[in-house]
Amino acid sequence: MTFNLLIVDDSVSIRQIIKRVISISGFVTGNIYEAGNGLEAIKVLAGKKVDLVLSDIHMPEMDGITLLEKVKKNKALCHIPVVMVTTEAREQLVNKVMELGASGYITKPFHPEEIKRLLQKILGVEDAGDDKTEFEEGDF
Amino acid sequence: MLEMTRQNLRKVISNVLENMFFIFIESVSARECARDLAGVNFHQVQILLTGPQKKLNLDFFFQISLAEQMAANFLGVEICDVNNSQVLDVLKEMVNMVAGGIVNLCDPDGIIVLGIPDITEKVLSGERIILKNEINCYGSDDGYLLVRCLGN
Repeated sequence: MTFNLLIVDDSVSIRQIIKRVISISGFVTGNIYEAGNGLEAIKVLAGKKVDLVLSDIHMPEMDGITLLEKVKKNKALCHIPVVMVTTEAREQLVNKVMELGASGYITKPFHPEEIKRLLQKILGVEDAGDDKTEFEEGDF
Repeated sequence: MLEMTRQNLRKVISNVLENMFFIFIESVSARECARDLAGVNFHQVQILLTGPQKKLNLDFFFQISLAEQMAANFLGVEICDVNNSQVLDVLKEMVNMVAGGIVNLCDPDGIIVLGIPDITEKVLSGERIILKNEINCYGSDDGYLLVRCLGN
């Protein structure tokens, strides 16, 4: 199953890591778009077909929570799963984000397996057909 | 908040460095650390945690050799393939993760607001940093990490 992915994070390094994890996990991606904040993400979503969004919360210009709210309030975009990938693990914020309609929540530091398992669940893929059974140092 | 942060600092830093950067640290005394800092330069990253009545400033100083190894490990490349922009970006992300780990432990009610890491462009000399008060020193095979918590 091929899908178009949007990665939203003000850290270029994190965006690279996530791309690498997705690639090593065996997922077949179509286009991978990147945005440095929620505002850039909105522009991408307005013009491109995106099937899944992975977003940080704390970003300049527009944070991930505002992005999530806007996506879920937009009739054309509300069906797109949004997964938060963030340093925040406080219960209040996790609950708030899930109530706003996030499809998942991953806390940094994260193990690549967490992203893989969550994406498998969201995309309804039992086995992404990964090349490796385990992630090793240097993969990530 | 300040005291809880200091108690949890090493634990959180170790967790982040080991899991995301494959780097292992141990606490060292400022005196021991000072002996090795002549002519050594550091990158500085700051982050502010703000509450209704409390503020906490976390100041991180990364020895450049450590910073470069962190970036290489994080990105899965050789050190020679890492550029300065990538190093600085990785350091900001590390600080982001540590600060997030601290508030997750010390602020279950979600009162504290996490700032955005701010990196100082200028490189600092280790001999000047070690003179600052309240410095926590951590050593690794790749260099030193010095951390200061100031606030209430």
